[in-house]
Amino acid sequence: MPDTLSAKLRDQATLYALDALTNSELRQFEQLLKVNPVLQKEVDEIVATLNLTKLASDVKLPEYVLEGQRNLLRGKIEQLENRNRQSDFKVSLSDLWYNLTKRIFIPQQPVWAVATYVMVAFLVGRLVLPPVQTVTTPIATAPQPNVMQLLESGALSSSDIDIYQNDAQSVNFNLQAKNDFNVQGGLNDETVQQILYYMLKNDSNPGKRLKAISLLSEAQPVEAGRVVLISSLLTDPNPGVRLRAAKSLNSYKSDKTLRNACIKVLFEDENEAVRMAALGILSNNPTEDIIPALQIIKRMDKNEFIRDQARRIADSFLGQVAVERIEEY
Amino acid sequence: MKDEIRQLIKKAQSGDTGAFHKLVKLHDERVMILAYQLTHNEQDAEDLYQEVFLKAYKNLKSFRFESQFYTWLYRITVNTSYNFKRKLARLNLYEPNNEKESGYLDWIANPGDNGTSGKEIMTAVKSAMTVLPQKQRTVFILKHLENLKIKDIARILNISDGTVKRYLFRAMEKLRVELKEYRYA
Repeated sequence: MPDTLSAKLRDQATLYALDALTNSELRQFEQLLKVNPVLQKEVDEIVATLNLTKLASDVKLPEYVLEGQRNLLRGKIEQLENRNRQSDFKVSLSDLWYNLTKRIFIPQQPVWAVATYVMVAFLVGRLVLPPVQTVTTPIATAPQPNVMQLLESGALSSSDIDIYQNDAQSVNFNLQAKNDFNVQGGLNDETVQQILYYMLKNDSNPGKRLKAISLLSEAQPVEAGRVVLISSLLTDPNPGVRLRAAKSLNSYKSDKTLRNACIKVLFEDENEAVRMAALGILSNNPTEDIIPALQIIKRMDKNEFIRDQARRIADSFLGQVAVERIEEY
Repeated sequence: MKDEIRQLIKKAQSGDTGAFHKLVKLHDERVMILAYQLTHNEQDAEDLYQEVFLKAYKNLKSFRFESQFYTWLYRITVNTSYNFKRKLARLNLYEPNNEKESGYLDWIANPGDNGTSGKEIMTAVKSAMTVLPQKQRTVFILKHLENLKIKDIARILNISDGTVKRYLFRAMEKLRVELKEYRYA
């Protein structure tokens, strides 16, 4: 029996391990496998590699992730439909206008009929159609409605705001008040951030809160937003929002309030990913005051990975303290 | 189930958004997992998810029942992920061998449950996968992790069955070399 394999056999071994041989190929291959230990070894190695990749790629999606994404998609499709409806309406208006002018300029009917068309068009324009006042107000260049004042006075609510477009540089909001108007600005504009923080705190739609926090995580962290993020981390009913809040808080300097919030999350949050993220914040800058909490977490947390991480952080911190003390002596 | 999906597609094609959302609910887990496996990053996977289903919504009328609905969605997912990477590469945000670390372990079923060596293995597998050229990696993911048939993969990627197999052999050869020391860990 040769101790090397032909290229064809090696390729077949791969297909065999990947369950991609045809029935006849499979029968032939299995016959060979019985009598060729080198081939068997080849197959074993391939299977072991495949098992390794499968184990490490076994994805378990938390249900809230899908729920959040579905809500976001629903919102986007709704906006798409609204825009389509608006453009359909514009198309039908231009058709109407075309027909009217055609009738006026190529009159095939008596003058009184043409006059009636003109009157009807005037009445439709004046009485039936709502006044269209859509104004795009780039924050940086033009005076803008004071959105925050409108929100705080209750004249506008978070549900009237749609975030309908953004790229790496800018965000657009569509504000559906009495008159529709748009506000546009960069992610780092103060007003844009204020609106996003407001939506994060007040909007009942988890998809919108997720969108708001995703955009905020791309902006420069501002100190004023920290409190809102901590509040979302502690109180938002949606685990996706809490997780994003924890990740955004990673960009902030750790202080006692943040550490206490993370400890509360570690003790109380049901969601493992949120707890892991909170632990990640604590591990960035461990201080002595978190050690008692870590001692409990490393024994009590339901998740083995979190217990291990807590143990590692506590041990490394205590080790560092011990070294410092030895150096003091 | 197939009949149910067929009915939903027909309704969605005639403008019933509710039917489309039911289709999303039936397929989105697979799409998200594939997106995650292609990007190795949860935020990119979420962006890909949104883009895939918006494209599907806009182009649903072009679906002619010549393939399974999920293979059509997979095709959109794979093509969108290629465009996505090209876009990131243009902005110098994508480095094929150094994908963003953030969130990689968040959706993995058992991140490092076997202790440090478990985590080490996962990191090794991840870096071995990123060493593979894009098409080899996509074919490998679709075959091994998504359990698709060779002919379905060929249809999704618009290549021949033979090319799919060739990509698989090459991917497998590279993975065996990269993961040699972890194979029996």
